[in-house]
Amino acid sequence: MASKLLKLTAYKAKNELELSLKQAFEELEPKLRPLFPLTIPTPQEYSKLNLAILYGVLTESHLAKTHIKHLHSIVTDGYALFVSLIVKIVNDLYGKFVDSVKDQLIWVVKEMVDVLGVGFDGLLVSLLRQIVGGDFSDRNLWLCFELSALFSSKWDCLVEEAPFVLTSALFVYLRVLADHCKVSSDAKIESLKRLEIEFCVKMLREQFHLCMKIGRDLIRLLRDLVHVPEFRAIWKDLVLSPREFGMEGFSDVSQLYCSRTSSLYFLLRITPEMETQLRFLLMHVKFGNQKRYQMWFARKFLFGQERETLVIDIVRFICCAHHPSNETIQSDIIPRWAVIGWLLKSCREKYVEANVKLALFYDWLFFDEKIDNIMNIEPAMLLMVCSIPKYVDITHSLLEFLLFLAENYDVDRNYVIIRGLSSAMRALVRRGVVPFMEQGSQVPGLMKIRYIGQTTIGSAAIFGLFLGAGSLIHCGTSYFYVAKCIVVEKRKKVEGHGIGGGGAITALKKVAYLLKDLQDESVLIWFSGKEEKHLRLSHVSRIISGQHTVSSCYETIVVYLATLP
Amino acid sequence: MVCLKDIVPAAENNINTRFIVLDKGRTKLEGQNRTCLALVADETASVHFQFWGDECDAFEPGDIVRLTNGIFSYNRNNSLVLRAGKRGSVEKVGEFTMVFVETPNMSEITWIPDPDRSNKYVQDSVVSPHSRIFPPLP
Repeated sequence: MASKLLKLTAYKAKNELELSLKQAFEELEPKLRPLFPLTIPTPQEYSKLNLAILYGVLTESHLAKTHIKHLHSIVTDGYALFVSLIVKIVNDLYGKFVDSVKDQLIWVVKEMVDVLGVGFDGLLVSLLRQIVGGDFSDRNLWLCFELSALFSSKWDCLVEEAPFVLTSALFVYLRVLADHCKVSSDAKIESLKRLEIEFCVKMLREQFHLCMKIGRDLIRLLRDLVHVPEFRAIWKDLVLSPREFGMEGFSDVSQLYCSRTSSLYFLLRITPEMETQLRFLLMHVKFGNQKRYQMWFARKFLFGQERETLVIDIVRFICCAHHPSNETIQSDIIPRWAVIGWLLKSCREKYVEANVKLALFYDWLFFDEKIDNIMNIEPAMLLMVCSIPKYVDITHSLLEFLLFLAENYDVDRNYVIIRGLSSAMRALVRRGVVPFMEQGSQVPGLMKIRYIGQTTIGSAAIFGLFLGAGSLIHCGTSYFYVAKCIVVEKRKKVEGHGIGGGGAITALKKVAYLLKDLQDESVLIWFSGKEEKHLRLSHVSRIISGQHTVSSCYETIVVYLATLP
Repeated sequence: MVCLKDIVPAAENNINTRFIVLDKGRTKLEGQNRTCLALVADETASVHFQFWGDECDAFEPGDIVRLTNGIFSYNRNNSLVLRAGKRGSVEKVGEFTMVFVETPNMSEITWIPDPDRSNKYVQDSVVSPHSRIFPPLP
């Protein structure tokens, strides 16, 4: 008998999960019609009945109500087994279901929410994972629609019983709205979009205390939607009048920046199938042997317009939800930074590339060692460092983007970001992620500057990874970063222009050169915002020769770290 | 289940193994039938596999395949291929999650009759460490 659950494919091995459902159904079929026997089933019979009823509900839509009544009459475990079976088939088989089975699935899920079946919250989350970013197929839009309708109709119950489902749904819908708001003049998407916006706005306006639990990635997603009037208004209130949200203790959006987003949210944007393949790649494939896997993955998941927006979600997943063991790190398995480098290179659209970089650096901006994990920021650092020998253009574009973020991501809360970047760098240095940046005067590449201006540097002048591209200087209680600078060398002015054109890099390279051949009359001038800052090089007490990294692009890049006790 | 590195040419339909499809060539007409040559591999070796008829459309690179009662022998073009044959079968059992090596390639080895055992073959020399039809990706 042909499968009724899954799409037929020739030469495909039978699926065992499907087989177990079908066998139970065929075996018990006579007992699945009214009148149902009144005897109490043994535990074994009970399990089998659950399998059989589930198969019946999914494949016999005309008898679904009868099957559910049957289930209600026998249930002894609060529907725990039944719900867990649905979760399992959703995770393993959802993509292969025939359409009628998907319709029945949503129907039975609603039934389980109605009776508050044990584990219904996890079931809803597993369905949210099946909504695919960047996918405009009818069935994907259908799932977006069905679930958002479900969340709206069960709103009160979910607020009470399963707040994590609502915050998960908010996370998912903010993400897919970025897709749905990009296309216009499609009536079908238009009505879906309205429903999704309504849900998100209701969450943000009425249940902000729940939304807060998402943490900083809530802002990342929200800011991608500021072109939508409803979200622009919310963003404005978050920034200007946080009290509007009526949550005690919430007085500034930076409070959200300071709260790390749980890895559970990143898993929501990766289907179980993608997760399996990505984890396999990162745990079993040797570095150098990854090309075919990357091609297969891209063909399956990233091929097609808008699909590449998925790369953003994948990079967040790799940074925050896949942390390799020490054993893997020390092995010849492909490291995370290399996979991210490939993903970054595969982006064709500029806005996707920018969002991918933001995803990669996001935890850098607000890093706090007390709550953040160094594993979340490690890939970006290693990608920059390891790209120097062969792909220095990647290093430059990442550094320039990081500087751009530091300056522009939140101009009014720039200090938060500078603090975050400094902490991130300190942590990376201390934990030895970047080997040549270790403290100690014997280490090549380390340069000590005792004074900047008249101020003793308090903790550290950081981010000299490549002084040639920008540095963060912690000076007293203020932080500065060098983004643009002018070098005065014996009244000869060398000017570098901003970031983006590579001018700053060239100019700062000259600074680096200057610092190396120290001249008393030389002054380093740089800009922090619009303010001009000076550094008399005579105040630089001691310089230990820097590490020279030869690259194809520049004859020499002097790698420094400016750091202090 | 046998590892690909242990397969030996023989006129018998007795190879049960599992491999991942790495690459596929173009489907060709051989008389009345369509055939398609592919590079397949497991964690010990790679080999050329010949798909037959509808099999040619059913498998893609990245598919993990179970071969039951397959045969490793010379085809009409006198090249050494693994295939299901009339008595064997292939089934897709998964995707992606299998490690592989491309060297040695069992189809790129010359075999000679075993002097000690009649009707058996032993390895003679390696023609190429990897497939010459589907060279490794740069």
